[in-house]
Amino acid sequence: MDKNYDVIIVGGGPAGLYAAYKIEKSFKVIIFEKDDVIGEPILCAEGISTNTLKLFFKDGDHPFIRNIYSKLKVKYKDLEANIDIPGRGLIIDRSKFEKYIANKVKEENNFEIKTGSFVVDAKVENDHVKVILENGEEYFGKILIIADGVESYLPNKVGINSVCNLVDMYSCYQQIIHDPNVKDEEIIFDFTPSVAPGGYLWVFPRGNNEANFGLGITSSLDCEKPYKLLNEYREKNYPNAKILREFPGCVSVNQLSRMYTDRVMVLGDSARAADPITGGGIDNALRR
Amino acid sequence: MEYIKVDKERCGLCGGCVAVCPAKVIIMYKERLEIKEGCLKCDKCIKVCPVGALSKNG
Ligand SMILES: Cc1cc2nc3c(=O)[nH]c(=O)nc-3n(C[C@H](O)[C@H](O)[C@H](O)COP(=O)(O)OP(=O)(O)OC[C@H]3O[C@@H](n4cnc5c(N)ncnc54)[C@H](O)[C@@H]3O)c2cc1C
Ligand code: SF4
Ligand code: SF4
Repeated sequence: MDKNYDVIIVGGGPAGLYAAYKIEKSFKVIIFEKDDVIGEPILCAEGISTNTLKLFFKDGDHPFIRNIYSKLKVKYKDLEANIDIPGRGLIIDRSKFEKYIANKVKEENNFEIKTGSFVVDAKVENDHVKVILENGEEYFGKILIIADGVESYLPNKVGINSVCNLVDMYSCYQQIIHDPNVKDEEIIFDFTPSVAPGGYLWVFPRGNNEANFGLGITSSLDCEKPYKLLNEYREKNYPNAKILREFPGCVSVNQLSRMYTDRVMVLGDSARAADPITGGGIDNALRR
Repeated sequence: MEYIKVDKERCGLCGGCVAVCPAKVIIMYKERLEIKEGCLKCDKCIKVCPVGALSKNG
């Protein structure tokens, strides 16, 4: 089997997939994704703006939309603002979203997506790059795109330091809850410091009284762990909630000042490209 | 003995510890976390973990 490619992409998240989609179809491109299925597992609150949708997916239908909300509630201690924002944002099914882009990459561009393939090492050698999989297989490319997500393990292998400072990291915990008190039309942010020190708590409505309910704190602070803080808030504010799924997550910000080196580009969370205010990273992962 | 201990039951494979480890000794495989030799004992991974899955051995 020929293991030479024009472009090798590591990471089948929004950044890697969308970058692939944008590459000229005549190129020979392969994406390596360590998970067995694109779009699973999902560690995300799934909020994007309508702008993102318009900018990147103008044509066709959007089978990945879960819910479109129309109201925004922002809380800070005793203060509360309620704003009407019809048509500004939506909650997507991140799993369907990634599968949707992956299908375009496979069917329109005819590129290969190799799942269940963990890349353990990468090297730049003279006129090519080399990546090595967990099983020892080697692949060669003219260009390497690293989009390995928040863990960002590979950039340091090729001389780009992507180690994240604790002050630039948000430690998060999320539960998918079902509760009659969740309003499908309303998205909530709570910036109260005692609720989420150095970060915020979110309630993103998925429809059918379900919500992506989570919080993120600045990782450098000395305080309770996110899962404890979230459980405390839930017991107070949504005492009857049913928890459908729960998971930790981390969001890094402060974009790398240099996202490239000879033959290599770093994209998305791996380049710390998420928005420092909202922690939203999908839009920026598509952009760069 | 390794300096850092992983509670596999608690770890949700979110990648936070891998991101902040200055020695790059934490690897997150598909279904497990591994800590190689070369740990600097900085405790950053313990601090970042949202669920408290990492702790000092002993
Ligand atoms: C709790 C939480 C809530 C969030 N909510 C939102 C939100 O509401 N809106 C928003 O816009 N953003 C949100 N984000 C941020 C968003 O999830 C990320 O910014 C986005 O996933 C970045 O995309 P990416 O492609 O760069 O990385 P990822 O989506 O992490 O994709 C990286 C991919 O690379 C694979 N991979 C990693 N290493 C290797 C390797 N060595 N070999 C092979 N494959 C590898 C991974 O398995 C993964 O599939 C949230 C994040 C968290 C943690
Ligand atoms: S203590 Fe520091 S060096 Fe050691 S594994 Fe944790 S983050 Fe890495
Ligand atoms: S930060 Fe905690 S939950 Fe996340 S991968 Fe590391 S040990 Fe696991």
